[in-house]
This record gives sequence, structure tokens and C-alpha cells, in this order.
Amino acid sequence: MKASRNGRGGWLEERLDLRPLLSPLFDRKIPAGVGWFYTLGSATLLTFVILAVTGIFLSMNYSPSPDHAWDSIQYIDDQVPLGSLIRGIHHWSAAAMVLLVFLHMLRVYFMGAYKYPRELTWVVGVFLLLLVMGSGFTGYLLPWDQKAYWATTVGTRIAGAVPLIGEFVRKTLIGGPEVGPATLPRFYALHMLALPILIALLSGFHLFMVIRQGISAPPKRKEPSS
Amino acid sequence: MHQPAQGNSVSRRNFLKYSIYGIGGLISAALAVPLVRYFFSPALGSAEGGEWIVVARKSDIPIGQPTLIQYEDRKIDSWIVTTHRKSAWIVTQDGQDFVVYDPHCTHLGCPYTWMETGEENKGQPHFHCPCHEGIYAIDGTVISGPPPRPLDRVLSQVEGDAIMVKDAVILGRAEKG
Repeated sequence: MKASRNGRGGWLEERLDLRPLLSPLFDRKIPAGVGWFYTLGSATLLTFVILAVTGIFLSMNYSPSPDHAWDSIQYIDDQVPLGSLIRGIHHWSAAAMVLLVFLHMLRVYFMGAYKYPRELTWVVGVFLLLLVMGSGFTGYLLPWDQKAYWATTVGTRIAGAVPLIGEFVRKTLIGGPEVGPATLPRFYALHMLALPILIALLSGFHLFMVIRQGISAPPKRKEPSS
Repeated sequence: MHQPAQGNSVSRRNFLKYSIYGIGGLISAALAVPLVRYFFSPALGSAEGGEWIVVARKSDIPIGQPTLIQYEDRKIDSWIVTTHRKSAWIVTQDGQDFVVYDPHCTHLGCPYTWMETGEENKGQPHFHCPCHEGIYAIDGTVISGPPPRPLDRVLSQVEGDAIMVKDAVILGRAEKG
């Protein structure tokens, strides 16, 4: 029987020989001086995973129709066992994700980690930022309460203020002349299908480049040249 | 300070490894357990269909005098609430036992009414369906006309002073003596 290449590993390793595949992913060299600031990206990824999982479960009891959206959320909160906990985790993870994404971006910016050869990672990261903000914005409407309704009305009217294409963008976003029955399923589809799939794909690419290029070393203080 | 590993003592590297697995496992479990409870809750609940609705007080129903009552049947199915206006005839002969009749003739479902007099039942009081002259006695049995069976009943119970019904109709059956 063929043992894994380095002779170690258990039952699964013996059969799949994963080590050569996973080793470059997990046993990477980390530059000296790397600390907690470098975990912000992973923390963001964790919130995304939590949001995806809790979101799947919330969607089991959510009805994206103006007649039933609010009632179905009350049902999750009051009737489904631990429903309010699951919804609470989703709510707070969403807030945490937006916060972490910004902290992650600031870390990369202030440490100059976006420079050659990592420009593409940064650009993909900017798109990821937009997708995360889009997820937050579309998710905010789903409870279909006063706050949700008016936040969406105001938010889409901001888009409508853009010269020339504003009205086109606004009506496309909300699926009609005003926020109404067509808006809710539209936002729901974006929130739970389109945006998460794009985030998963792009963050996979983002992560691939990080692994390929290695983590950037912390910037060094230059000797004063005077 | 730096002691070499003795016997079964855990190396620093393995300690960190186990800690990461342990903490990761705890966090995963903290998320997974509520999700499992949430997911299987429909099968774990002991919800039974229908609720008792108080439709009348005992004192509202005069003895020997069928009384038409109106009530709202409010159904809560998950997050969808539906309300139906319904009515029923309540009959009591002694103020203790109450019978609640579905207010539709068993022939074609027309609403019937209570007649104190009239030639149909030899001048005796009776339930009268105007559509095809279905005639029932106060106990729901068919006296004459096309009805195929006695009046249908609504599942009911008396608790204290309250007469309650459940959304279930018991088809009328001729009691053979």
C-alpha cells in the first residue's frame, strides 16, 4: 500500500494524498512582524461564512412579499425556536462584516500592502467592498418595516440624483417608479443569490492571489536621511 | 526555562494546534446547535390543529330556543392569519348541554332558519330551509324534505360559562334507535 508522500497522515491522507495540495495553502511562510492587523481579512471571511449559513436558515421562514415579509420576520423572532438568535447572529455579523471590511481596507492602505505586485488584489478588494455594501443595503429592506422602507427610498433616490442616468439607475434598482411590491423580491434575489455568489467568487480570487503572492511584509521605518 | 518534552507532555506546537481546534470547534458548535434546533423545530413542536374559540356565554342561549350566533374564526398558520366570519345555531334543552349546529342545510348548503310556528311541522317549532323545504326538528333530525342527513354539528365544548367551538364539522348522522 502506498503511504502518503512523507509517510505521515491518517486514513484519509493515505487515500487522498492531500498534503502536497494543502501544504502550500496552509504552511506558508509569514513575514516577521505580522500581527493581529493581518487577521482582519480572515475575520471578514468568517463573518461572510456565518452570514451565508444563518441566511440560508432564515430564508426558510422568510416570505419576500409586502403582505407577509414583516409577519414572517415576527414569526422567526417569536415563534421559531432560537429564531431570534439566528436572526440576531445574522444582523450583528452583517454589521461586523462592514466594519471589518473597512478596517481590513485601512490596514492594507496604511501599510502600503496594495503596491506591486498586489494591485489586482486591491482592485478585486474594492469590488468586494461594493458587494458587501450592496448586501447590507439590500438586506436592510427585507424586514419591510418603516425604517427599511424609508432607508431604501432615500438610498435609491440618492442614486436617482446622478445626472443623466440617475432615474434609469433608480428605477432599475427598485424595479418600478417607487419602492413597492416589485422592490422586495428584487432586493431579496440580489441579497441572497446574486451578491453572495459574486462575493464568494471574488473573495476566492482575492484569497488565491494572497496565497500566490504571499502576505506583504510590514513596512519598515526608513532611516532619517538627514 | 525551556524544558525538553518529557514523557507524554504536549509540545508547544501541539498545544497551540489543539487550542485552535478546540476554540474553533466551540465556536462552530455554538453556531451549529441553534441551527439544528431551528431546522428541526417543525418536527419537535407539539402544535395541534385548530384552537378553541369562545363563541357564546351559557347565559346568552335561552333554553329550548335555538340561537344564531356570529363569530370570527381566526386562523394562524405560521405567519399567515386569516379571518372568516362564521355563524352557528346553538341549542340547549337544559342549560347544561349545548349543541352547536353548522348553519347550512345538509341538502345543498343553504342557510336555514328557526321557525316558531308554521304548517310544515304540524305547527310545531322547527328548522326550516327555504331552498327546497328541508325541515329539521330541534334535535337536528330530518322531518321532511330532501336533506340526506340530520344537521351537521360543529365541534364544541363548554368550559365554565364559555361555549367554545373548534373548526371541525361533525357530519350529521341519523341516530337509529
